[in-house]
Amino acid sequence: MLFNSHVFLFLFLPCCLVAYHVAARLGAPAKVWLLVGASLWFYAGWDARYLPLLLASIAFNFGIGRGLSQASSTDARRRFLLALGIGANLALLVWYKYAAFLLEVATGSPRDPSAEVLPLGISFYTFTQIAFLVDSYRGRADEPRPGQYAAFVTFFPHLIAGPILHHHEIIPQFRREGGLRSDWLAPGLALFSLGLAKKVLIADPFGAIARPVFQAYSIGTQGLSGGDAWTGALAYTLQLYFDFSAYSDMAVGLGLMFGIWLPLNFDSPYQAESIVDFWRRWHMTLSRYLRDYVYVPLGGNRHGTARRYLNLALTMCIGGLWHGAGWTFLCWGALHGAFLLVNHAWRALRGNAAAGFLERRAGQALTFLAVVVAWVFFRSTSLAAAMQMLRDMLRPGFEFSLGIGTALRDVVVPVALRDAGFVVPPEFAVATLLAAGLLVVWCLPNAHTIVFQGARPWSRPLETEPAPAHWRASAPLAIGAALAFVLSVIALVAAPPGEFLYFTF
Amino acid sequence: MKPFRFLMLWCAVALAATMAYVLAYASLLDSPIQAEHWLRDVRTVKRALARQAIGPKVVLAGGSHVLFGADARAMSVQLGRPVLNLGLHAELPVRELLEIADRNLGAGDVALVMLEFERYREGHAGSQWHARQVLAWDREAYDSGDLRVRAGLMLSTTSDLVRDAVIAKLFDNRVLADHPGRRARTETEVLDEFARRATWAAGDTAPRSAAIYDFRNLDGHGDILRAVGSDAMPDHDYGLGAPLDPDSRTWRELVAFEQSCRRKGARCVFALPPVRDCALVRGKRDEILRGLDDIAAHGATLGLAFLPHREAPVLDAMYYFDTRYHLNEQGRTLRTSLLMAQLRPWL
Repeated sequence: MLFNSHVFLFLFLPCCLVAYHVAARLGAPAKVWLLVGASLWFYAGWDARYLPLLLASIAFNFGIGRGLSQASSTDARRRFLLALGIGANLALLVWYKYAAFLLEVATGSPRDPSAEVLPLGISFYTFTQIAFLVDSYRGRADEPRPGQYAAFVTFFPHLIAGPILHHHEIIPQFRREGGLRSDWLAPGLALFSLGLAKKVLIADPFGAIARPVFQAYSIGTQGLSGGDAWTGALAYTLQLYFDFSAYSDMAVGLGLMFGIWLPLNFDSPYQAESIVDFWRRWHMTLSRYLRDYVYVPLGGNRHGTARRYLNLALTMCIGGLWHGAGWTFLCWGALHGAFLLVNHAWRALRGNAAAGFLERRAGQALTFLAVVVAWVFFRSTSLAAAMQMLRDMLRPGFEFSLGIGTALRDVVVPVALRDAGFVVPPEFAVATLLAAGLLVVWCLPNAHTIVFQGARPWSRPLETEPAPAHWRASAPLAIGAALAFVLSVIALVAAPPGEFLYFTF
Repeated sequence: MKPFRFLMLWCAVALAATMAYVLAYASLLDSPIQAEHWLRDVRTVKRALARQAIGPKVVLAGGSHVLFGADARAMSVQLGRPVLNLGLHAELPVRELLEIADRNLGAGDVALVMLEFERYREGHAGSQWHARQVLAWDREAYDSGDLRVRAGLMLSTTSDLVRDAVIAKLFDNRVLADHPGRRARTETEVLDEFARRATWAAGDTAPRSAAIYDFRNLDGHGDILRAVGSDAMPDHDYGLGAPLDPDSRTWRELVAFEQSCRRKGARCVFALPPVRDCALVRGKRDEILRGLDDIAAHGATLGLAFLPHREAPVLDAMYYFDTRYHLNEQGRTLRTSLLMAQLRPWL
């Protein structure tokens, strides 16, 4: 079930909200179990085959977590349990996500990616639970009840594609009493509506522009131009941001509707003035996870500069592989690791003096360029295709090659306009759309800033953050959000909803 | 604004915007967008032919399999009564395919209905193809449809189609200047041109238009006159291996049609199209024959009579024209002789 499907919008979500409100009268445990049931229904709506795997994973990790938290456990026993828990989780992940890749590396025989089936959300729920085990071992985890733990792992807004939750900030929220409240529902609905519009009206059209270009590179089409390559790279850069941040907005909005603060995942990342800044704004919950559970355990910055840089590079490579089993993802991670090293080295050289306007803009442009280059690896089906695309990006000229021009003309210039005799060069239409997209990501506030009018409830600990009782909205926001919702629904009519890009990770 | 008022305003605006869209949809009808405009004129001609037929007649109804798959002229000569080919297009809703036959049926008439196999397996509440035709030329389908039909059409209309329809409406003069075939002719214009072109009595079957799909290529029995050659096409099993959907809307439409025929003193019989021979079909022959049996058997349980389908259920690929349902001239001749033999007991 997709957030942008009619079944979800008009059946699942309304039913869940009503049932949640009714269950709330029976107390917090009933609410929590209702959320678990709804989330499992949501998951099974995708692929019921992997429901037992999800349930087994939850039961196993809950059991191990209990064992780790018991005061009577000896250190040796706790170490064994931690190793068992992490080992089993990683084994599961490796089996489903990396086995084919490792086999390919070991044997050299190419794999068939279409034959690989990845249980939905496995990367997210595995990482979430490993963090719970580590914190249980460290004595920093709560001892949740089974229902609360199951709800923490399966809560449907985040189950498939994050944000990656931390038990500390979520489980206490499941203990809240009370049903639906307008002060939770209203900002949640606003955020969800804006997220839906971002996905359907902005991300998917950019995806339609990027697709033929990357497809052409993946099959080794010759004679592609610099204009083709830049169009593909920029369109994907925008698609990925709008797609994933839309999903995150919808997830956070859904969480709010049920009275749960979910962590933010995006904070206008393309406005970042450095790569370090970028990673504080892009997929923020993954960055936090990698910092706390990979970078710091590797030694962090505690063993000198060289070791710090090595840890950073390793962490980013692991981050790359987390997205998918393939050389392109490894390259993407390694590239970002290298960017971070350069950024830290530059900072060390430059000192702490405040940057001027020009320096900040230059930093922003350079960061954006670096990110675009890295996305080429992220999206490409092979290193060869990515390298060819990057080579083409160095070629001058903005015109499209014949094949890409024809394909993009069909995407960006309406047939009826052509039938009416208007000649709109696809280069012009694509450039206009890309410019509009870039204007949005560079200059406009993001969805949560619009909805919360600059207030930053996420800057405080979520577990203790109360309902947004003082939230006040403007009429333009209500009108805009409602129109965004209706336009998105109209755009979804008779067209299959586009999958979210991060569902495949 | 307090959150509760925000929610109320959100709901009010969403409702108003939805209503506005629903109301605005009707204004997009008759947009000169890309569509199969030829069908509009073909339907006009066929309706006129059905009106003009005198005496007990046989009408052949269905999609384009009927259009290409039966020689009404030959049948008329052989059977000694008017035979009309009212076949249109398989993607049109079943009720539209049957309506053209139903509106002129009288006592003693026989209706032979041949639907494409897919129709027995699908709900066909609406298709994007049909929504496009409705916006382009079939206002009647929208105007005569009940709420369910209209909602089905709207839910089958993609946003790209809406965008194209809006643009085509805004610049209709420019579009029609470049694409005159999209101009909606009046019934009189179509019939006048058809009368001028067709020399029915003389049996002139020479093609009248360069395009195959054109009302000027119809003869006085509604047969289309240009179906020569045999195009290469991919193997297909017509989905006959899939289980039958006994609850599909099609069956309800067919039962309603059969009852309507009975009320008028007409008789109604159904036939299944022949399957185009190919390696896939040869490999699944038993399964395909069972699929045919299932359709006929389920029809029988509903009181719908099917002509025997086990006699030549598969035809050689050489008899097909440009799709797996369109027979060429040779195929049509072969099929027609079989149909006539099977139909005689019903006359």
